[in-house]
Amino acid sequence: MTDVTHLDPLTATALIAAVLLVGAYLVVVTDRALFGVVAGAPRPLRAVLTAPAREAVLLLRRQPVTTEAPDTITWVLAPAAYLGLAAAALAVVPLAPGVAVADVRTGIVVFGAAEALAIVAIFLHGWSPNAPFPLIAGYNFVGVALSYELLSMFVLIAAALPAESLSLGAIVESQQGLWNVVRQPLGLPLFLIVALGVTFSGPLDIVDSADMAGGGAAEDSGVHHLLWSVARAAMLVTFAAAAAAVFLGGWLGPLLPGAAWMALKTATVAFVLIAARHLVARVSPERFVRVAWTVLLPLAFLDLAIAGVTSL
Amino acid sequence: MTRRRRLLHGLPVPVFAAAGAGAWGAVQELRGHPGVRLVPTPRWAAALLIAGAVDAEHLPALRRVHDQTPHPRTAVAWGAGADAAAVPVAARVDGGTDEVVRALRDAFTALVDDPSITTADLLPDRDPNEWRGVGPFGQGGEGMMGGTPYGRPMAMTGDDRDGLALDQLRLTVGPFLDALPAALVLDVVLQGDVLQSVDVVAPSAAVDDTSPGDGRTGAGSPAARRGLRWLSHALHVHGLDALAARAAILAAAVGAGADQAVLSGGMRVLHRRIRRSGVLATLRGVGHVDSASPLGDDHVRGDARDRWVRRIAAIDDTLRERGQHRALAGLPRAAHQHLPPLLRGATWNAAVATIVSLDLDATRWRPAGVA
Repeated sequence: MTDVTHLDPLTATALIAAVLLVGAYLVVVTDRALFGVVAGAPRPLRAVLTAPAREAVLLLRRQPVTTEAPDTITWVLAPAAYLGLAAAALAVVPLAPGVAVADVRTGIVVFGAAEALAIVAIFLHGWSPNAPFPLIAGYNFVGVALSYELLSMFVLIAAALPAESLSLGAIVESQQGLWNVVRQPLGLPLFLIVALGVTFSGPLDIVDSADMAGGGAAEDSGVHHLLWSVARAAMLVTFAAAAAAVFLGGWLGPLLPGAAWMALKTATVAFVLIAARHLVARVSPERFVRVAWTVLLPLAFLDLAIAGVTSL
Repeated sequence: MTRRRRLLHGLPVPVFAAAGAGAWGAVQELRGHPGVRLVPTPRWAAALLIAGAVDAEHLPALRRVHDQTPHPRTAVAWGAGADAAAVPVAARVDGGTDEVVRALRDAFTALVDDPSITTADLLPDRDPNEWRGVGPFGQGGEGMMGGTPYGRPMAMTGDDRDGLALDQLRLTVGPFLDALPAALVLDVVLQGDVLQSVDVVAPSAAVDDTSPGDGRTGAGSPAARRGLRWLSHALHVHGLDALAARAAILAAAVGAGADQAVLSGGMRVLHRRIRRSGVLATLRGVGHVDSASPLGDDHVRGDARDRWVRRIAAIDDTLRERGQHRALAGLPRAAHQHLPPLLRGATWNAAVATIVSLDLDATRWRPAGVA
């Protein structure tokens, strides 16, 4: 196993913040660009490139409205917690050979814990404003979350089997000969469903959905809304990076430096996730739960079984 | 002027549209305009667009929506009937989409340059019921359940459809809820996200302005234009905003009298993207109307998916100037009385999908030649 360079706390914090912020900016740029393309009316490049900055400035200049008897502390903490969990989960993902903030031996467990706690942050965000639609969106989400959480556990453990380690660095190393996307073909698609769930986008945008006037974020304005949007985009970056590391061989690749391969693969996964927002309709929570338990979960078992048999 | 302000001038204006009679359809076309961005809640908006004539009974709700828009805010009235008396507006527009977008952009630019021109609250910031100091602890009630703690009645438990006793949440939704037709007001009792009871308080308003001079040239208009406006809103509600913009652009092209080949080509692409998005699969089994139901008209019966398929086919046919477009007519005012049994027991998500698929329209627009 490659020696892991342990970064000092200051560098590590700066690195995580930079990756998440630059990543989140690019996510919004890509989102706006794809919107124009799918709508059949592409936006001018300059407008697309500056859109996130300009939208952020506008939101900062607007009043953060409060509701009647909100749970103010959790309302403020929910986006912070969600963003913090995106950062914590990214910390265990190796960004280049030997460069990870904390490539701990239990990387997958840390990642899974961040994923599970994200459910709490998303629910609290819906709960806090003390308003009907955010509340309904919040518990709707909790109802769905368990169904995809289980998928995540199984596909990540399947990826850990050939590596014989729960560390994400070791999982990348184990893909020297063959990437997990080929070795465990069910893993990546199932993990992408988990990513759509945790970032509640596209078909699984059952939280901030249009049929509930914006759902969990219906009462967010000004800086509240900005923080929540940034946290969502950052979580998408974290999941894209994790998918790149676990299934697409992370930094492995010819010619280019490892970090470049990692960035390229992360961008590709992020692109797929963003495209799903514009091309795939939202599913109903009830139906997703049914499909998750009857179809997706057995597929996740199968994935684990394939991984187990091939690693014998 | 600071650089930061100039930076904001070119941004699509976040607009919340409160549509009244005759303007809901026209509002949907704004989804395709790059100068504005329609948002589903006033909290995300910088400008309030009051489109069409708002009934007097809905004016208090309009004032509330105005006050819910965060500062700095501005408002624009659109259409001859738009009631500017209820809300102070920066401009009144009596023209097409381009004119109203220009007015919204001008109002937004003025707001960015001088945020102090924001409109003041119209309603006092008061509790809905007197509660402070009432009861032994000043909590607004007596004992566990009495009174109106914090000004609102307590959510009481009731039996749900599965025989469980759950809290009941009573809500009035509308008349400006983004996912519903204009002016539709429902009193609902929710347990979880399941609708235990539904009452129609106010029916939806007329979707389109039927006055002459409404761009009635070009292939198949106005039936196709009306259908595409409906489609744009429906796609938006199902989370497909980019496709909603595509449908809105197509609707505007119909209004502008674009070439038939261009229109049917555009519709072909849209139709393909809709099929691939899986939205039709999500509608299977939702809001089923059987032929014995009083609503069971030819173009209503079946589930929401059947209604979508018929409407999309009808839009396609109309754009090619062939055949029936009866499926594009909205449901009449009388249909509202049949809504509650259809929605009872559905989840919120399915109820909205059902209402959207029915296309309620107080005017019941009839295409020429159909009795």
